Amino acid sequence: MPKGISQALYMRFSYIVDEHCIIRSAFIPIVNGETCLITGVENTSFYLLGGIVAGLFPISEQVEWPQMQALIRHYTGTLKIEEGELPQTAGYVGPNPDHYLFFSLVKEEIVVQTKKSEAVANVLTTFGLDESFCEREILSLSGGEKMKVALAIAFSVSHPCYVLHGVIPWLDKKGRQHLLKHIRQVTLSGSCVVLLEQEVYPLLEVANRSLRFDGMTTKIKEEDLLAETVIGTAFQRHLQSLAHSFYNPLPPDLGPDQQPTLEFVDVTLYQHPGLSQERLHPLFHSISFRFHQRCIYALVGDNGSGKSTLVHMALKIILPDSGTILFRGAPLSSLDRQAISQCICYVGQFPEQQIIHGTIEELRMKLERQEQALALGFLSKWLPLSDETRIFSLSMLEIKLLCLISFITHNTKLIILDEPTWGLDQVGQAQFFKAVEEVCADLRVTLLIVSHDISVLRELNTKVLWIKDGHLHFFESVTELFSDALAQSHLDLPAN
Amino acid sequence: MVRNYLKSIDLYLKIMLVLLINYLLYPFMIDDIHLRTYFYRLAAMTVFIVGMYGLIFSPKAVMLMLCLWFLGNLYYLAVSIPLIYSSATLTPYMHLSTVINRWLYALSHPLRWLAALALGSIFVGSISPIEFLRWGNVGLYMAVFFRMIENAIQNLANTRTALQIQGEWPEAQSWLSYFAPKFILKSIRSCIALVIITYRNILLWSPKAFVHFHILQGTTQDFGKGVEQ
Repeated sequence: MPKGISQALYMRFSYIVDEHCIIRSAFIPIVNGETCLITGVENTSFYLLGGIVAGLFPISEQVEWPQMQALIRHYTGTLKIEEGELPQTAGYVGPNPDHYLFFSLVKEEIVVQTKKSEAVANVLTTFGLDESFCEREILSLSGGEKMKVALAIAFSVSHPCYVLHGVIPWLDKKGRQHLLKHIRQVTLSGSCVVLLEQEVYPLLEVANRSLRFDGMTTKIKEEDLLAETVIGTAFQRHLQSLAHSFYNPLPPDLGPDQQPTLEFVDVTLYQHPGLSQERLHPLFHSISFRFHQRCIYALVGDNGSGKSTLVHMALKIILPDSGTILFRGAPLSSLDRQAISQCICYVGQFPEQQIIHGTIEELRMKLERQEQALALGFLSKWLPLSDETRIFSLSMLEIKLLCLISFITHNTKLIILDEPTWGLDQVGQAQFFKAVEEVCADLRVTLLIVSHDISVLRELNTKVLWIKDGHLHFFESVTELFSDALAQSHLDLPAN
Repeated sequence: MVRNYLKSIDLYLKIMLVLLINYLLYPFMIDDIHLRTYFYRLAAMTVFIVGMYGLIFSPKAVMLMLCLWFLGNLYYLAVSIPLIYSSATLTPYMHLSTVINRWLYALSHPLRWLAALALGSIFVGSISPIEFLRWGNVGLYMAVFFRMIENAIQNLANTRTALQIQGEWPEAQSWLSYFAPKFILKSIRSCIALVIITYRNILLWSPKAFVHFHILQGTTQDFGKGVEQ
């Protein structure tokens, strides 16, 4: 039994799948009125750990369909509770809110999950979402908005325990503040909260206990959580090394780099073309900026502010209502799709949706056919996997690396990484950024990172574009962003 | 407005309407003499249904559907025109005495497909999975299946964007390029890839949905019987 914790306050369990123990004697304190923060290796076992505490796994039902059976085999394992017991009921929100919202409208989701047919708007207002969200279609919400809805629903139902996994990266400052307020409220009323997170600094003020998961079991973290987990030393080294290969500040004489890689001139977009609901104000109002070669830029903003839409405009997926977008001096609209895909490498937040090949062999054959020697070189170095490896069996890190590698060409001028740290632990994040560094070393590229994780952006010493109410605010560095009073009040800036 | 009105209609009535309209689309009990009347009725119904589809979704969605339909028709006509002018039996249920009737019968197929597709889309757009929960656990299964369709539609759009970003999706520079063989070949190849990738993505989505389904089984077992007022 761990030192300092009495027997009645914790549970210990193992989880076996296909005769392999994938969680071994994991210890979880389930203490009424307390919050336990677990961080560490982000793998299948980590996902299962949260699900087991929440009572989701194991699932007893057997499915006839063999393909499905293979996909859910991790959920149908054997749970061995060695000490203590599971909470009677638990509220659970996992890392992808899309999986937990099932119905067409937000209102319907609330009615079904909370069994309340009246005052459904009150559920949302507790998470800072106004009443108009009730009538919104789930599919029209941004990722952050979906997460806020999922959390609002989870906290509106009373449970002895709440398990939240990977929710922080989705939330803007207001969302994080609401989350902390809810955690405090439920713990004050005697519930227990178990948090499984990689980005831990926003949670330090509410965490009573912290554990580290090593990929198979949990251990009590006795060292100072803040010192180690804001940014690990090894990871910090990688980020700083990557930052050194880019300009900041921009040298006065750029020579051949003078031509901006990407330029938005007075670009206005009234609303996302995929949404039917009309906006009161334009999504982007006459925004202008320039991205120079060999510079790192970060795009930050609240949930639903239009970060992904702006990226899609840079990729010519969405066309602006007015204004011009220039890519290396030429109007983006005049470039054909092949030229754009050769020059811009985009790794989205859900890279698994971008991979169009079934196996590594299919991808390798395509790269060979297109004579992408650079990508093939990176593939054999960073992902030395067998040809038969199926893409859906890869981890999130491997999928992100695969995406990065397969879209890199000798002509790449702009790399866009949408939430690159999401779904990765610190070791994974370090590995991913090391690969990015290596790619960038070979090419004179511009790097754009879309992220809520300001601590990573600070280490990368990026220039920052902050979208607020349809307008763009530009900062030469994260330090400048930190010193801006308006930014301080809207963005979740980590402690120095 | 039309969509909201359709959404407010009871589920049973919606199902009845869909079944009835679908029945009227088919030439049941029609003989050679009345084929022309049937064809005009079918054409009028198709125009009405596609118009409703445009009103509920968007004129852009109608254009996209019509483009795909037109493309499919080119292949269909390439196969059916020789059959119309030869002595082949187009249907064993009807004796088609004139060439005009043979044409009308052959053209009724693509019209019916278009109407059925638009009708199905209107039905899907005017229904929510929550409506199925009144049928208990069976309804929950249907809700999951329905959600899977919704997810597949969203996934199709995401996958298409992914293909577009990678230059794997055909983009016409002008309306003439729609007819270029290279464009048509790439369209077919990309559409096949789109369906395969979407199927894979749905498979990847389904385990997590399966877990949520289990959570909901507990929540919805008495749904509709005693929702807290």
